[in-house]
Amino acid sequence: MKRIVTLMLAIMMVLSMAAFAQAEEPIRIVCYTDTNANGFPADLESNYVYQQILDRTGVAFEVIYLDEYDVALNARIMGEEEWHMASMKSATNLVTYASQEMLLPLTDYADDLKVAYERYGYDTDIPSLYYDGVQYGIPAAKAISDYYYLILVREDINQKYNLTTPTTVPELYDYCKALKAIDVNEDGQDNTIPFTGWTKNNGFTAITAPFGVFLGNKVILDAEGKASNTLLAPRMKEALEWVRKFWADGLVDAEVFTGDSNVKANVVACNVGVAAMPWSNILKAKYVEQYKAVKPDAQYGWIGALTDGKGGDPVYAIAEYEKYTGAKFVINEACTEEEIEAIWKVLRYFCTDEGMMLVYQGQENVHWVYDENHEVALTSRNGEANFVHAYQILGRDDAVYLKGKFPEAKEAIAFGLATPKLIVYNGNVVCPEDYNLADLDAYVNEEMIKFIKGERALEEYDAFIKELYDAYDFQTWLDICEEQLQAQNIAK
Amino acid sequence: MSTTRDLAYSRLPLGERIKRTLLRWWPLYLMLIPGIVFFAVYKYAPMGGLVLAFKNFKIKKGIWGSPWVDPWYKYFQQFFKSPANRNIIANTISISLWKLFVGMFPSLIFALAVSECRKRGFARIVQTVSYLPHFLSWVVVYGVATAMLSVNRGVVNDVIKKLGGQAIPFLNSNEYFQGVIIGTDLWKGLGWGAITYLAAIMGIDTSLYEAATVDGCGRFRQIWHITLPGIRKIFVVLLILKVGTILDAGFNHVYVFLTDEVRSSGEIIDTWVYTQGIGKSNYSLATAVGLMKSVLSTTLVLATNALSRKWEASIW
Amino acid sequence: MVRSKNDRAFDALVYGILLFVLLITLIPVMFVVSMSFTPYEELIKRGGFVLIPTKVTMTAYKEMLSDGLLLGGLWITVQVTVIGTILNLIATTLTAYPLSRRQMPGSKLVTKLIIFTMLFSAGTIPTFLIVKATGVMNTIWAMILPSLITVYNLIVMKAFFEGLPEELFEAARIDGATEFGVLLRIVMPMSLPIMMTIGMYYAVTHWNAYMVAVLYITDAELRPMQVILRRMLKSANMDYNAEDVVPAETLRMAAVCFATAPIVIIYPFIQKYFVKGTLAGAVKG
Repeated sequence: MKRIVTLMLAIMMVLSMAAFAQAEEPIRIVCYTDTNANGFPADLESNYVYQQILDRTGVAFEVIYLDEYDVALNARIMGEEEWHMASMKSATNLVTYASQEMLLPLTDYADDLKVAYERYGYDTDIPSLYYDGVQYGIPAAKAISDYYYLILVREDINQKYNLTTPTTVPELYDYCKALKAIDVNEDGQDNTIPFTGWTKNNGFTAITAPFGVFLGNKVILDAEGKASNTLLAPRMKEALEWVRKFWADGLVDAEVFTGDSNVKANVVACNVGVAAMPWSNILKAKYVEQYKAVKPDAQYGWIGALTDGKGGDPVYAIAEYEKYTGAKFVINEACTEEEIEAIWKVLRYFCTDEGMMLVYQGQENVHWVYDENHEVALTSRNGEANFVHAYQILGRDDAVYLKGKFPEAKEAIAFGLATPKLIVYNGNVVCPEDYNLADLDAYVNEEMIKFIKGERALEEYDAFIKELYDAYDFQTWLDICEEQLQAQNIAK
Repeated sequence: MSTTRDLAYSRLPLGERIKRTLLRWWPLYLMLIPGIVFFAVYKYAPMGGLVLAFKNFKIKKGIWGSPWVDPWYKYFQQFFKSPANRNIIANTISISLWKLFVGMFPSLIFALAVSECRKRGFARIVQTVSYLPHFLSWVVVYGVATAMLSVNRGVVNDVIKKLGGQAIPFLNSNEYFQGVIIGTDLWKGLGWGAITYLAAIMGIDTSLYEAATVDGCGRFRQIWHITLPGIRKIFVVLLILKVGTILDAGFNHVYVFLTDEVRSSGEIIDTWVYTQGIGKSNYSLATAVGLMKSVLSTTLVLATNALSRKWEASIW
Repeated sequence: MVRSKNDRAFDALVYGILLFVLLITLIPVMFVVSMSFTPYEELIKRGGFVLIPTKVTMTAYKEMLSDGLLLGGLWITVQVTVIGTILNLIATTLTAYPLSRRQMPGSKLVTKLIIFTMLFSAGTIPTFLIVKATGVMNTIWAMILPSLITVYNLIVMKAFFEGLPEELFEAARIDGATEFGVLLRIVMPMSLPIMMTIGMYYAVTHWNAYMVAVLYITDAELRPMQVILRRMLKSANMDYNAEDVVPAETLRMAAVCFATAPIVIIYPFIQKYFVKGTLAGAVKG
């Protein structure tokens, strides 16, 4: 009897405490992000993502976008403004903060992280999350959509003029030559741009990747599996020669390096023949609508990766090594136990079906529904969910996510994902503070453009590499890459 | 006359001198108080932060708690050792000198034209229109510049091509880049820069002009003998102030226009510092370069000010 | 009045200059305005720029104002501009006037110390810490107090005061006027043009202020217009996130027009005072 009374008393106590806890102010978590989502609601009342997280977890989880992220975040940290989580724009940032003991080591939270790993399906040993052997970064599946490059061509023009789509680089050259003679936007003016690309040198990857080359400073593995650099790639000159030929014959957009909006405007204006760019810049419904309004019969389709025309494999675009993760969040070392618990509560919620779909597509039956095949179908109110990706703290599985979000580009996305790519490892290398990588990159990009445009002779390429060794300490950079990739068991 | 008074004054004991000064000038000192408080709090107090140039800045430890850098000139060395350095100092000075000397005269000429225009209504319309570009941000100016100067779709190149010429890559070649920067700066600031001159011209005693007209003085000569001397002081003062900014070639402006293609003619100190310093949270480097610029600017301002005494204008 | 040949040549030159300035400033500005009223597809079809719109639409403006964010920002900006400019003018005048009296002991020293702050600036982070320490973070005062006096404007105003004839002050003193009396009744009426000019400079600075708001304001309801505007313009590049839809050129231009129009409309009213200022100058002669 006594026991029962005690038990009942205990239960009552627990219940009343629970009730009391409910009445208490929810724990507030401030999470700064550099993801600018258009259409972020002005206040928390109308932010249904915030409300739903609060309702399900009891945590007031505020995601705040900061303009001018680097400066604004540092100013807030120094000014001792309250913060619990923040996104790191690069691996270098994580090192800066972690080396100053400002971040919470995640060693004790391996179990919590495991839930996230399983849910979102990524590896645990991602080097850029670590500093000095300790994990600080919360991994997030990389939004690989940036790398869903496609070689877009004008299907309407191909049909009308009976053009065969190219499969090799030499064929692409002939194809572009043929396009140059055609008035592709049919405005009676000589303004056809046979080839353009996004962004800067990236567009040329359509031409150079079959040679195993990228026109810039990218870390790769050579034929023997050793760490190397694209600038030292054996077939660099061969690839450069092709690009120079395209340029010299006026087949390339003269302003391909100038600004992204330029490239885009030409594509929408339909005076472009071939555009090497991510699918998202033209195949989204909104953009299709735009170019169709300019020229109703215009139709952009895509072709597969090209080969070098000498029996090599087709390759197109570059992609970061799969173990690289993008935006990742860190936790403030100064958080209290309750706050840390609250953060994991929210992160665990993002690992549930409901939580994940909330940050993918918004609320079920409001912004999306499951159709009869249990596939995600968007409702007419999906426009109200155009900010939810700011809450993708744990990243997302792009293969699932994009298909649901952009049904109109489903095939293009799948095709882009499957396209063979040149794998680069820059994301795996954390540049130490005392090496000036920014100067090296700036110089390489500047000179590469000169080579492409023929302002520098190809014979000078070796002299250019020597300059890198002499003035920019290129050897140090190569050593850094080799050492780090070896330590990660990627390179031999 | 006044010298004898000064002499008598300087013989007085210090306490008495202060008392007399205060008695004579206290209302003016009183007026100065808000200004002095403002400069002390918001300008001088943060200046302790300049010490960052010599510290290995740690965010968590704050400015004062961060350790001193070793050697103390590390960040200055980083700036001077950078191979990018070969161009950026030359670019900065070239762009800002052009802006300084080419930029001031069109505004002055425009201000004179507005003030001399007999049709006041017309002058007012032109003036109102002329300052519109000032309100456009550089991002928008870049958009407008593209619409005018782009190779593919620019109006200017359209005309050139129709006349049978070759399109000129204004925005993406090293030959034209600095010219475009100076041109757009001129365009944006022309009308706005004229406002100060106009205010000064309005302040000139109109009876001087009446007297000159009676004497049969032509309008060219009126400008030369009355208007220009009347605004000489403000012109020189503005010039000196602008000399102080000679190492600022206009970060926001250049940053928007800069691409890899034109880096060798377009990279300036501030854009370099931005990518090197702020982008990588390296505030010490940014502060060190800023400090160096400040010292140089101060020297230049002092020199120009000393020179300008010849024209009886000084900023203090 | 007989006009000489010289005089006519002079007029021709004056009109020539004015007409040239009118054209080179008006045409690009016209592009911006016209683009904001043109349907996007029409814009692209016509090569990305339209001088005189053939089809007019308000779509861009409707879309821009649909979420009410910009209007809220506008209200904050108006408050900051009005309160800020008044305080700027008071503080600048009160500081410039004593400093313009060179006989006042210490005026040179204080001027030098003030100019020093123009040449040496402390940088973002130290300034942030002081602003925080003064307790104005997250209030509209954070956008006003830290930029209360601009050295450049102060020096220009001081130079103007110095240009006023010395006899005026002498005469006033003989009449027994106090220093405040001289400033209020003699100096101020003569300084209308410069007050308006400097006021305009300050107002425009407040109107366009961006960085101060980014740093010192976290409260979404206190966000001024330029911050909201910048977010619209910033995503004008190609998509970096798959989700982003770039606002069409027309929308961006509409935003620019929206942000610029109020100050452009107000300017002609201020211009009137320039003329009045001249009259004041004539009276004294």
